[in-house]
Amino acid sequence: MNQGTGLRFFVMAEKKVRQWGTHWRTVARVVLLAIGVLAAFDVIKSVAIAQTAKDAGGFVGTATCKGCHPTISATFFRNPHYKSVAAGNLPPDHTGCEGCHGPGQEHAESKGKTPIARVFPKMQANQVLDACLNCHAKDLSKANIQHSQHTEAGVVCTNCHSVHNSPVKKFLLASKQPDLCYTCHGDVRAQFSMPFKHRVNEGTVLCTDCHNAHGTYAATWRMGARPRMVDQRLGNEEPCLKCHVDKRGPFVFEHASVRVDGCETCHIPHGSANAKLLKRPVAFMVCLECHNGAGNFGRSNDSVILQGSNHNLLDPRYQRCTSCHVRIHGSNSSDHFFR
Amino acid sequence: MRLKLLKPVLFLGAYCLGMAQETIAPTPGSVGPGPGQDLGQYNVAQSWELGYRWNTVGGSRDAYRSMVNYGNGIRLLGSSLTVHSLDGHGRWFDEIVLNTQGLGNDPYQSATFRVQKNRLYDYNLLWRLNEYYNPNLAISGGDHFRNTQRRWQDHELTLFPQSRFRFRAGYGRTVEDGPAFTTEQVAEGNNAPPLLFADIRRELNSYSLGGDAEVLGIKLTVQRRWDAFKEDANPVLAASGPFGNTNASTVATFNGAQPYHGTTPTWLANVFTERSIVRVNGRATYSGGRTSSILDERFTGGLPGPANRLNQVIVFGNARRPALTGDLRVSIFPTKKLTIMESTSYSDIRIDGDETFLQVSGGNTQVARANFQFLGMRRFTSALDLRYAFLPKLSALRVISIRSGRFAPWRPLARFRVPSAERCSAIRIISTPRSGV
Repeated sequence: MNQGTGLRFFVMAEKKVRQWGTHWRTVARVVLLAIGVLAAFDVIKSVAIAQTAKDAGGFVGTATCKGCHPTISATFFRNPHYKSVAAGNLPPDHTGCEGCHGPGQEHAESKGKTPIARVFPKMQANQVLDACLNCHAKDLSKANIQHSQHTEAGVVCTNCHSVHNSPVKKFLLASKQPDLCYTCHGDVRAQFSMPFKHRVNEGTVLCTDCHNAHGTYAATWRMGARPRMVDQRLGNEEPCLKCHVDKRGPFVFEHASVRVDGCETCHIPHGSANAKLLKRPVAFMVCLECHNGAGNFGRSNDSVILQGSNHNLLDPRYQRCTSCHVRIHGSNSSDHFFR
Repeated sequence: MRLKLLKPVLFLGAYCLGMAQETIAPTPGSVGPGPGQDLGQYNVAQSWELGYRWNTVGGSRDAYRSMVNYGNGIRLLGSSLTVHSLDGHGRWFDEIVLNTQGLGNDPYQSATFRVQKNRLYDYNLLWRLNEYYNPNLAISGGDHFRNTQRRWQDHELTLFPQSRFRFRAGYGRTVEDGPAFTTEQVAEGNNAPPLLFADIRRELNSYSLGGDAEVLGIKLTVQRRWDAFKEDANPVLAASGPFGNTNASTVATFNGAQPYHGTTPTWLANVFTERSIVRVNGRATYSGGRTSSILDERFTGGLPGPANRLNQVIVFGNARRPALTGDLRVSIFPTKKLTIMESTSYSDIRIDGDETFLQVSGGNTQVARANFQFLGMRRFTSALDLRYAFLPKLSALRVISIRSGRFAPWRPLARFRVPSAERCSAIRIISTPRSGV
């Protein structure tokens, strides 16, 4: 490249940079304009909604409710729903008492003889759900609430949350975890009373560490069988890996059942008689459920030799499978998970 | 005759009881002005419970420690502090909530902290500690002993939580450390595996950034995460185990290092929209897990041959596990009682990488290198549900449920056989396409 060519190159490059600068300024202007239009649209829409609601009538405001319900109103500033009152610019159907209970004009004028529009204990499950999702549908954690097993069973928001009387300020739960969950899941209470368990009753581990009571996406393990509202780590992994990260891998040699069928193939996460939360009291009973000498089973076509000279499972030494197969979840250096 | 009457009566009774159930949770709380004191523009309520635990354990103390583990000592059994602004317009914050449990000396401790200002920010912290003691009496005579402590902390910050455009940032840290005894099958023979002692140190750091947007009735969530994990264990030969059992192995000396580091960058996106009779919910995630590992072991004995012969195994390599998943769910509500729901899911997980195995045994060197593509799972499922709610108080009954799917579960494309100490001089790659589990 001679000097003239080099100079032309730099001139061209500078021109290009300037052109790009102009382009970027144009792009920035368009983006800002779009944001401005959207913001203006939002403002106009909220004002229109507020005006429509006001025109529609029936809303009397939280101050009116206070006249007859002083005890609830006195502590309402502690309630997370007080945000709607403090915001001051939300439409009446999203503000304070009437945000949840509906317009109260008729109720107030009749001095309580006419029930308020929404009396939650008297409402059907789907009505309760719709009322709460009016505001709470925006969270990602509730993206599957309409199809969760709770909703399908008619268990909805007010079954677990208590808006006015909650002893648990965070999330307004009707009682603390796990007591709240045990109200229905008595079998799980029994599992957490086993000798070895996750420390849920002790308060270190919460039910919601592994489960999303609002429903989850299809699992990526066990052929996509719907999980028991098991919350997936990173959107595609078992929740066990939130804490037991050393089991995540990827490993050079994977124990494939972990990936295909999931941790609960061998473990009972709630509680077990086995110290490693295995499904059976001793390890070899779990292992032999798959590696059962059926011949053509297992990754390497060589299932466990039940009575061989060097692997005799009648010998108690060989019944402790994980004494030798230490890295049973996956290994980077041994296809038999020895190290 | 009586029995014939009893059945419908019981059924009617059960039905009436079911109908009488209110869809509201019973709570121990009471309505009315709670405790607290107004200070300026805030209301402060607090409670603190200090205590001392005594324990007297009969029988096995190891069993007690593995199942209960509460010890002697003074501790803050529980505490609660709430600060709320009276008008929802505090200067720096509108709410502070702090709850603790077992701080001081309990094996199970936790603290939750929340501070938020309406419309501006919302910060949540969850801190936990769990002491874990596992004599593992059922396995290997107690050789797999562990006495570790795990500490978690999760921070979440949301900016503009009530806005249509929300930003989220998070940080999580999990640390597990403590002494442990384990075993390892060094010799791949009939010998008893040597008993090894290792100080466990595992660490996970998670970072996340993301945001939500609501535009024209469409809700979009995008999140980016980074997980970084590392484990640095240096097992050494132990003369005896935790319960007096001696090391029965023929391995004379052992030194090992096995650092293992991994990262998992992740993308997550979710789209949700709801119209009068249609609801659409879709999401996609991608996580690209990758690890780097090294194993360096030197030992004498344990193999057929002279007891003082030095053996060394060095293995190093990388592994990747990209995982892609997607879900799309469309629900149609033609009438109040009828719901038609179509759910489609896709997931693709595969594992590949490379690995080098080097073994020096009594002067003989064996080297093997392999590129592996071991595990691949691809799943596509589709489910169509028709549900009809016959009675308003009964949940919807599933009338039809059609599920179909294609599952390519487990496909070992290449298998890398580690050469044994004495007989193998070259690596063996076996291509065995397989389907079905």
